[in-house]
Amino acid sequence: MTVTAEMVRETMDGARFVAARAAQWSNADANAAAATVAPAATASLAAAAIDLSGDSLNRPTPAHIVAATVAALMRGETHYTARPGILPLRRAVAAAVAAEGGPDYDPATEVLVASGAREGCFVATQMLVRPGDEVLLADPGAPHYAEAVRLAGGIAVLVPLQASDRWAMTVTALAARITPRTRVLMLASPGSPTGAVIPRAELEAIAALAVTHDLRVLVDDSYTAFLFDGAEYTSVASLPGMRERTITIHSFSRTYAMSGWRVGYVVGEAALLHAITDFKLALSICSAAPSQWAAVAALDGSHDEITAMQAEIAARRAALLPALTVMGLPHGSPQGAYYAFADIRNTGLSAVDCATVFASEAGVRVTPGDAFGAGGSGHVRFSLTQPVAIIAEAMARLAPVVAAMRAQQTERVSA
Amino acid sequence: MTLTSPHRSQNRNRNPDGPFHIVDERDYLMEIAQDMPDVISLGLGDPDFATPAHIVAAATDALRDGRCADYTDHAGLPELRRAIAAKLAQENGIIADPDTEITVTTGGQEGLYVLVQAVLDPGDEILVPDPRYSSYDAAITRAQGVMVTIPTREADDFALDPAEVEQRITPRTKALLLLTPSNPTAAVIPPATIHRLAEIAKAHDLLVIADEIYEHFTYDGAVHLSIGSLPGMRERTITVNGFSKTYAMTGWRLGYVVAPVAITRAIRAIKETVSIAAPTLSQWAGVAALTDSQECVTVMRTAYDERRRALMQALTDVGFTYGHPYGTFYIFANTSRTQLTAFDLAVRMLTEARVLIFPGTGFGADWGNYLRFSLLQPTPILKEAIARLTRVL
Repeated sequence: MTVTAEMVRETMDGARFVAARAAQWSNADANAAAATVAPAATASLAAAAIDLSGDSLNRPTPAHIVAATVAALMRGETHYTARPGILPLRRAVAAAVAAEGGPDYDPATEVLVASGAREGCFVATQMLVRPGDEVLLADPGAPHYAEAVRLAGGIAVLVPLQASDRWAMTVTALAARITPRTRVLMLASPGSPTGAVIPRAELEAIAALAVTHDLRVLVDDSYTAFLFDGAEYTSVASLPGMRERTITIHSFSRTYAMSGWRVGYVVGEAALLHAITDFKLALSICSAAPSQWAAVAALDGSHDEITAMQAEIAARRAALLPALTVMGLPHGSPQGAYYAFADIRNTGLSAVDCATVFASEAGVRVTPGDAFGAGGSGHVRFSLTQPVAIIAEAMARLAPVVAAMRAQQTERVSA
Repeated sequence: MTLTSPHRSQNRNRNPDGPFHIVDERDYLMEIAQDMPDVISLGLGDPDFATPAHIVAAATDALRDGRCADYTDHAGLPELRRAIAAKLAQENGIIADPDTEITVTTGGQEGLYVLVQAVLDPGDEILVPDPRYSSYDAAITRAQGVMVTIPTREADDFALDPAEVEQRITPRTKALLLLTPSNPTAAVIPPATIHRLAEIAKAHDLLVIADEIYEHFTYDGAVHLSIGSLPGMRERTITVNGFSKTYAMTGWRLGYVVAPVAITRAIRAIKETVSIAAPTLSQWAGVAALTDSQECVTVMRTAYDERRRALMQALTDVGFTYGHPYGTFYIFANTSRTQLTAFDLAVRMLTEARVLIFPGTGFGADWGNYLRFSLLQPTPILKEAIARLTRVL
């Protein structure tokens, strides 16, 4: 199969894009595309197409977490668990949230274990959003938020983010879109695809806005282990007036390289969490028992590997961001997550066409920004999911391709 | 605490607008049971058997090989989808393409939720035999569908009457949901009825949702027939199944949905939004469950059958009637002769006999005079529970 722009466009359908991409942009496909478009380059490209389009870090899960999973299986932890999750995990979660500066939550009534942050986000959205409610969402943003709002019968109101704000949500942009029907605000700081971190002062202003308009706030903290350049974590739920209106979702997938375990958690005041917990029972009864015991080991065990991984991601950023700058692709120095959202408009191509050229001529796969909403057009997302040396190789391959694209564009403009 | 007072007066106030208050009586009983060290639970549908060792071993191998760190394709591990396709062809006579017609889910319950969201538009009617597994209500309510119940009766051993189905079909009827063998009634729809229901579905252009999670547990000569295997039914049948019951794998959260290509496309998109993919280690365990020896299933079925006979006899001895349990590992028993509601009786059973049983109200509002007994305790413990119940009654 050859990668074509048509093919990319065909799959450019919100949430379905990312999954379709996995199937369609396999190494073999990119190699086939390279063979079609640039036969001279085939020999080197065939060796290794470089995938910077994913959202998993492709790390092995730390050994002590794997060992705890095996031990749980050996103990016979193969039955349904308590529906909100096993108590040792709910206790460990409450302690971890408090240790990060979050509110004190009661493990008995204010912690819910979910089958990944994705399920946590889904069940919370279904219970917070009533049919016809308006929900404020970042654009660009992760497409599954809008899908979950749609399935709840709500209306996703997209709040355009600006490169000039380093893609961070602002209280001004939010305030302009509040109507009497606005009920929920969803925040991810940092989040995909931009890696933007909302500064604390801005979050305080956003919190005050939420209090004024009596909004529920759904916070996705999946990427908060990845903060750089002095950025600091702010617990939105701990800001004044926020505990009673905030539901916070957290993932084990990102921090602990456990995406295959499908375990995450939801915390919030009991009055909000009751309905969410009941709905989780109706949806999937409980989360996988061995995965829950693995999560206990993750929270209670050594965090050395996480510290090492954070240093590794910092090194990958250092291999990527200056290289993009040199190529003339602005990126706004994201302070969080493991993405860079690069402006490719000076290539003269759409994001889809640009990603197609990157794949076919440089053997480098990135995600077109349109996959994250109209606000992502003209941009592509680079994921720091490969080691430093491979990212450096990707940059070396892209530099001449980007230079050629920009030169052609200059010619077109001057002609 | 006055244990026999109606729980509703305690103002538990759990999501009063939602469809989920139906679990309150169960919650109440389970909360009391938590503080009783010697309680015997005949409540939840969680097999007492440990997951068979060869299945656990396959999962630990996958963990140690590093095959479990990342999530799989959101449709499920290709190896598992192929194993499911082979199983469907061999055991059920269902032909399904693993690439386009099978989706692995985080348990059969999630599968059912997702498929209902995929096929029901607001206002669509779905026919559901009553009594019913109550999680259907939540899935249908969330899709803004309209559940039309089809009564079944103890006097008929809770057999589904096709005439009762047909007379409730309207222009808005989109689907017929079948759970056979049935939770809670333990009825099994006989092959002749399955054939008749298939003809009705074709005549009225209905989808059929076939929940076959208890397919391997049938007794007394009852035969399970998959409606999706009948001529002309592949394109209108959605089959949902899982590993929890057959292989004692409730804690793994693994199930699957088989549906025509266009419906599968919608199911997969929703599944990805709901939870991305099923746990990877569970999926490797599922491959082993389907492809290795099925001896473990025979062992469990034999044990459930022995327990079933023991409980049937005991219930008869104390004067309870029930629909004949041709399948599952439940007995749905009529408690009218006690002059108590099933909930009040369940509270008495719990506090005086220290046996936990679920009232029938968890399976529809009309079943306040029934208790669902599950058979999921080792036989000696089940016999002790029977002795305790007999003493109190």
